[in-house]
Amino acid sequence: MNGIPFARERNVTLCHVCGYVCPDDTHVCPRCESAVHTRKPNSMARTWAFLIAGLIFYIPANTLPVMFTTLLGSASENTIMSGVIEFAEGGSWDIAILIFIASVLVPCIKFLVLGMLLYTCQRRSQWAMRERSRLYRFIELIGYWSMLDVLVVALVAALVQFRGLSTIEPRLGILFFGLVVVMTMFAAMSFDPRLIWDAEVEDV
Amino acid sequence: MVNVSIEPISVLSMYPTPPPADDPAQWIICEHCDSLYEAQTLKKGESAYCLRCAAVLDRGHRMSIEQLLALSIAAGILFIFANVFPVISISMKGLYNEVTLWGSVEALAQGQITLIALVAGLAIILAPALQIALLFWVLVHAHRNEIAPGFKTCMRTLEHLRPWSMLEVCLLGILVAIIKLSGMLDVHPGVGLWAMAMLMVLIVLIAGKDIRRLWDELGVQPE
Repeated sequence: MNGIPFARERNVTLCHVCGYVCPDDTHVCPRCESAVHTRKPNSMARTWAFLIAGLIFYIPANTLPVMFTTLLGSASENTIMSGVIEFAEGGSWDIAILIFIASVLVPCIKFLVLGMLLYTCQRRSQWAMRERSRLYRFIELIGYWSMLDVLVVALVAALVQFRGLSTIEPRLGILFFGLVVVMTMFAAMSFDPRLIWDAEVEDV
Repeated sequence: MVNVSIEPISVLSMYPTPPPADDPAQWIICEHCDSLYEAQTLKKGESAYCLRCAAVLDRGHRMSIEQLLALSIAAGILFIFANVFPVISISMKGLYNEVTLWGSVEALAQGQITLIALVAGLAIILAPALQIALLFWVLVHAHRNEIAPGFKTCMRTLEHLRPWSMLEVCLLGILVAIIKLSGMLDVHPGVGLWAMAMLMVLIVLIAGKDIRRLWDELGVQPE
């Protein structure tokens, strides 16, 4: 396609840590001494593993409560969705939408996009390669914003500690939610976007 | 911003023979699709995009080493402010409480969920602190045209820390927490919040991939 050579064709490979152009038979970057691979090792299997682990953690992250509130004697537990709904019913639509995007939409988009990328790469599809590259960069960019809810719960729980009057405590759900974020970040990191373009070359 | 597309090597190549593989300074590889280009010098504000996958290949440097060093010192001071002073304080029926970044990490460190406190601690305290310290270390030496002791380890650590530094998310988290609590009690933003906001801007400016230029500018020789 449009005559741009691949680094592989000239027997060089990129060091992802320092950007040095290494000969492709080295395993250690001559300049920064980090490990160099022509393609990330076992990229597909690792990404699938992290993705599935993330999906499994996503179930308790949504069903278990993330926060336990006692306010003037009345106690209540909130899951992520019930927190969003509470904001929406309280009239704070903007905050409800913000939390919904960060805690529900972003992880779901990550699951769908990574799954789609893995599936199309395994089938060596040549469909929309440029757009799929863009999608990968997009989920790499938005991934860590899901930590928002974890940090909000941490701040709120640290603040509201008036024994007898009002307390807020974190609950197990937030652990699973944090793990979902970490797993999907690992999944995005272990996916090698160069695999999208390898479908162009026959003998990989 | 001026967009510059780098010509593919095959178009530009006026070389009598293919350029030798051991001349990496001439080449640039797209990390997203493995395309190979001849590197070009970019001016301030210019960016080069990959013709194949449209990823950013390279950007012109916006700041000098001196400016980066100055900003990393400023970031260090702001980091101390952001951590020493409370980010939010609340009052309710005469009772008063305030929270620092460390306090919020500690709140997660109870019972079964301690693991997530480690992640939060890494994301909002440890990773930014290390980034600032390592940047200061390599830049203070680069400023004198020296390669800092432990340069390779510092630069590798900076690369690995980047995805885990989440000050932007933390700042948004503080704002959401303020709005969340303002419904039931009196909430006041603290000095730490303002320091955080400024620190976040500085971290975005100094902790990007731009720091990789030091490898070339200091002439670190491959072995």
